Amino acid sequence: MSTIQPSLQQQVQSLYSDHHGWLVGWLRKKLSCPHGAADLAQDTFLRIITSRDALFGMREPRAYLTTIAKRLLLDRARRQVLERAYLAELALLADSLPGAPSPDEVLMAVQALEQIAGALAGLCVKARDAFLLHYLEELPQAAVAAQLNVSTRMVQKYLVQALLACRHACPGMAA
Amino acid sequence: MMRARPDIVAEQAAHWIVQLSADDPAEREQARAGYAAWKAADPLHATTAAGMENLLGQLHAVREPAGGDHRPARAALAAIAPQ
Repeated sequence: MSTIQPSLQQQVQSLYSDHHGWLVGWLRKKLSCPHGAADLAQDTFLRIITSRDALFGMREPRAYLTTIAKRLLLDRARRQVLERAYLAELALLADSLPGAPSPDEVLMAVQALEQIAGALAGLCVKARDAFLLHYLEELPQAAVAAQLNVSTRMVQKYLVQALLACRHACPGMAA
Repeated sequence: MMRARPDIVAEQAAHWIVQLSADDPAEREQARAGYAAWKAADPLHATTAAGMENLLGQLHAVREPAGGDHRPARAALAAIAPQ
């Protein structure tokens, strides 16, 4: 963080020293897990530091902190639901797999899925389904069209839409 | 309203990529040639195309822990899909 300006650094420092303990306490009540609370408080401040401009003119620091912390809590809950569903289905296939997948592989897959889910969230259900049926399940375009009860041309439109949405929402994946 | 050039190029890249997996082999062949020429025409075309291919590569990779089976990925997405 060498580019951080001293004034901003001071602001973050005073925000941290004034409210960090309070935020951890607030999160502990929400989470009933001291480690999780400390981690999320850390993530909250990290989010604030990386967003930078957000600090100026802040009137209600605690309301602001809890807004960010709540969003992170929601993301975390979503990730847990996604990961649990992934692992449950993976366990069903365990016998037919040549070896156990590495935790790293699973983590990467879950992270990618989280990003893809976010990107597809803004699309209509048919566009989302078209994208997953064609690119994840590798169904031919005509088969996707039949399943969704639309024309093949429409499927192609949906695929373009979804590709653009992914690129837009996950620039890191499309670099 | 004027649209940004990277957005226009991304849309073109997406169209090409969708044509590449058309059901008709002749159409696919034509798209392969057209896509290659389009990428060669401009460095921005090439980088945009590479980015989008990378994205699809990562989508395919989510099946790897399941030995290529798509079901865990599908189940995971379904679990958090907006209704």
